[in-house]
Amino acid sequence: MKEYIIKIFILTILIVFNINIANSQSLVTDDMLITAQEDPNNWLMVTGNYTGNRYSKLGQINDSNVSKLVPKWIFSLGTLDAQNTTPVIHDGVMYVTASHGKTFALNAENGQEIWRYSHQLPEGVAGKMCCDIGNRGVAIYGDKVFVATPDAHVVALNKDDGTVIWDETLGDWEKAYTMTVAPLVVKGNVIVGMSGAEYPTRLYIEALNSDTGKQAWRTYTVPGPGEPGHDSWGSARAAEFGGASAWITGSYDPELDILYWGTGNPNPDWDGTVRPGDNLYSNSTLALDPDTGEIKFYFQYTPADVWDFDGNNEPILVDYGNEKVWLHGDRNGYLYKIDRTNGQFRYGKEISKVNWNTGFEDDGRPIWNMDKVPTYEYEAKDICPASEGGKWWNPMTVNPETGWVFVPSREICANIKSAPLGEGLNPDEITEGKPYWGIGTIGWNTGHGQLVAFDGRTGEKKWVVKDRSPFTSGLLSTRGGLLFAGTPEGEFRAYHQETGEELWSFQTGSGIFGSPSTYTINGKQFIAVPSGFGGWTGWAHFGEGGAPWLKDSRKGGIIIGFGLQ
Amino acid sequence: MIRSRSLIKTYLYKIFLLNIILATLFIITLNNSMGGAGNKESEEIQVDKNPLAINDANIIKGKKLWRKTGCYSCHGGNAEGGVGPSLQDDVWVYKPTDKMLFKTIAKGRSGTVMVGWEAELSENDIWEVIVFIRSLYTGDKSKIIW
Repeated sequence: MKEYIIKIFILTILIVFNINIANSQSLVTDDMLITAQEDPNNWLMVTGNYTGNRYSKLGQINDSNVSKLVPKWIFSLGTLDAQNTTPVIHDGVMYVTASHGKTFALNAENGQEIWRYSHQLPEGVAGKMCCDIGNRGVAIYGDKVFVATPDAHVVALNKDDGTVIWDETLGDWEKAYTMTVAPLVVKGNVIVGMSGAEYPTRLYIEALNSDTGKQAWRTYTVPGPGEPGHDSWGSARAAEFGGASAWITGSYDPELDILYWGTGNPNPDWDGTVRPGDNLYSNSTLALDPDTGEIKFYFQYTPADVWDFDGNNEPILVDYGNEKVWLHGDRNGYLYKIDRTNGQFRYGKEISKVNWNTGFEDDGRPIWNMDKVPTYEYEAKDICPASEGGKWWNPMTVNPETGWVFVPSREICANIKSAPLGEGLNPDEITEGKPYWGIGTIGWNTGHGQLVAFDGRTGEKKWVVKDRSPFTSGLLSTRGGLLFAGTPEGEFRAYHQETGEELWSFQTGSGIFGSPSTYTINGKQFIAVPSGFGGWTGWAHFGEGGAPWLKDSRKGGIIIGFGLQ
Repeated sequence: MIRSRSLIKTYLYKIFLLNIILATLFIITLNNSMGGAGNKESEEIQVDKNPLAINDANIIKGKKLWRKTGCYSCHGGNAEGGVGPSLQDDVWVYKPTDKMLFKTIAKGRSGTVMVGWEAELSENDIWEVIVFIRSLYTGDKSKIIW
C-alpha cells in the first residue's frame, strides 16, 4: 500500500511538472520579450524586439540562396484596404491583423487558419479615420493576444482559441479617437497610442494591465492647463484640440527602464497661425517611465509644424560601443541620432532632399527657411520633402551588428497654402469628429522612391537605390546579409545590405503597406509579408500627384509565407 | 321566425362588411406606420435625377458641404482620389447615375471605408454634394449620363 501511495505521489508530481512545462512553453514571458533578439526562431513583437530594429539573426536564407525563395503558402485576410500588419510568431503560430478589425492565428508553417476574431465595428467608424481602416499588428504576452481596434478598444484574446478575455474602450470614436497601433507589452502593461490628429482632439499614450485591462496610466501628448508645455500652444483652446497622435509602436530599454514613444502632428495640420508656439509634445519622441507614464525627457523634431511632418515614426535603440542612442527617420526628411539617456541631439542627416530648413541649432532645433513656410496669403512652392516624407511611417531597420540603418524613402515635394476656418478645405467652425486640416491648397509634385542606407554611427550615406514608386513597406534586415522591402506596386524584394544590389523579387499582386518578419519552423527559415494596398495615399493622387501611376491601384489582402525551394 | 332569421342574416352581413372595412383600414394604417420611413427612403432613392441644376450657386453649396462633412479627407479637395477613389474621372465600379451617387452617399458602400452620411446630410444636401461632384468631371464627355 505504501509503495502504491508513493507511486501515485510521484506520478502526480510528474503530471503537474509536465503540465507546468507545457504551460511555460506556450506562455510569453517578460524574459522572452527582453531577450527576443537572441531568439530568432520566433518574432515576438511587431518590431521584432524591444530595440525596434526589425533585425533577425537568422541567416539560413542569405545572399547566396535567396534566388530560391518561393511562396510556400498564401492566406487570404478576407478584407481589402490598408493591410499594415507585421506578422508576429510564437511557437509555430502566426498572429496577424487585417483591415476592418480582424485578427487571425495561423499555422505559420502552412498558413492554415487556427482561429479568427472579428471585432464588431460600429457603422460609420471608417468615416472618422483620416487614413483608412488598417491595423499595424498584435502584441502577445502570457496566454493572451492584444489588439487595438478602429473604434478605440483594446481587446485581449485567448492566445489558443481567440476568445475575448477583456475588452476596454479607451476613447470616443465618434469624436475621431481611433486606433491603428500595434500594442507593446512592457512589464505586464499593454501600451497603446491614440490616433486622430487630423481632427480636433487631444491624444494620449495609455497602459493597461494585461491581466485585467484596467488602466495603469494615461499620458496626454499635449500638456493640460498648469502643466509644463501647456503655454506652447498660444491658447488653452488650441491645446485643448492639439492632436499629437501616437500610432506607431514604441521601443523599450530594459536596462535604463525607459519607454520611447513617438507623437505626431499638431492640429490643424498645416496652419500654425492658430497655435503659435512649439506645440509640445507634438512631433516628438517621448522618454517615459513605463510604470507611471511620466515624461522623463523628450526630443522634438519639428516644433510648430506647418507641413504635417507628423513625427510619430519609430525610435530604434542602438548601442555604438558605450554610446546609447536612438535612430529616427522623420517625415521632415532627416535621419536623427539622439542620446537615449538624456534626449540630446547628436546629428540630423538628410534622407531625401530637404529645403524647409537651412540647418540646425546646436540642440537640434531646426532653422526655418521662410520661403517654405505656407501662410494664408502665401503658397509655398516646392517644399521638400512633402508631408509624408522623407520617410513615411513605414518602419526602417537597423543591423546592430554592422550599425547600418536602412530607410524606406521617397523624393517628393509639394506646394502648400494654409487657410483659416471657413476657407480652403476647412470647416466653418471647429467641430469634434470633423476633420480640420488648416489647409488652403495642397499639391504634390511628381517624384520617385528610394531605399537609403546609412552608417548609423556617423550618418554617412552608404548607398541609394531608386525606384519609380515610394517604398511603402516596413523593412527587414537579417544576418543573411539581406534587406527585404516592398513597394506599392506589389513587388517584394531582397537587396544586398552592403551594396543595395537587388537579389530577388516577387510580385505579390497588390501594394505592400505592412512589414515583413522572419522565423523558423522545424529548423527551416520563413519570411512572411502582408500584401494589400491602402492607407492615406493622397500623395499619389492630389495635385499633379507624387506617383500618379498608383491611382486606382489593385487592392488586396493576403499574407504570404516564403521559404527556400 | 322567418323575419327574425332574415334580420339576423342581414345583421351578420353588416358585421362582415364592417370587418372588411376595418381590416382594410388597419392594413393601410399598419403599412403607413411601419413602412412609412421605408417608403420615404425608397422614394428618396427612387428619384432618378438630381432635381438641382448644376449652376454656380449649387456648386458653392455643395463644395461647402464637401468641406463641412470632410469628404475631402478620403477623396481629396477636388475629388481627385486618395483613400477613396477619384470622382472626377469616368472610371466607376457602378454606373454613375444620380440615383447611384445618392444611394452611396446616403447609405455608404458595404465592405469599403465609404460610410453612409444620411444622418448628417439632408436629401437636399446630398443633391448639392452631387452637383459639386458633377462640376469636377474631367472624364470622357460622351459618357455623361446625368
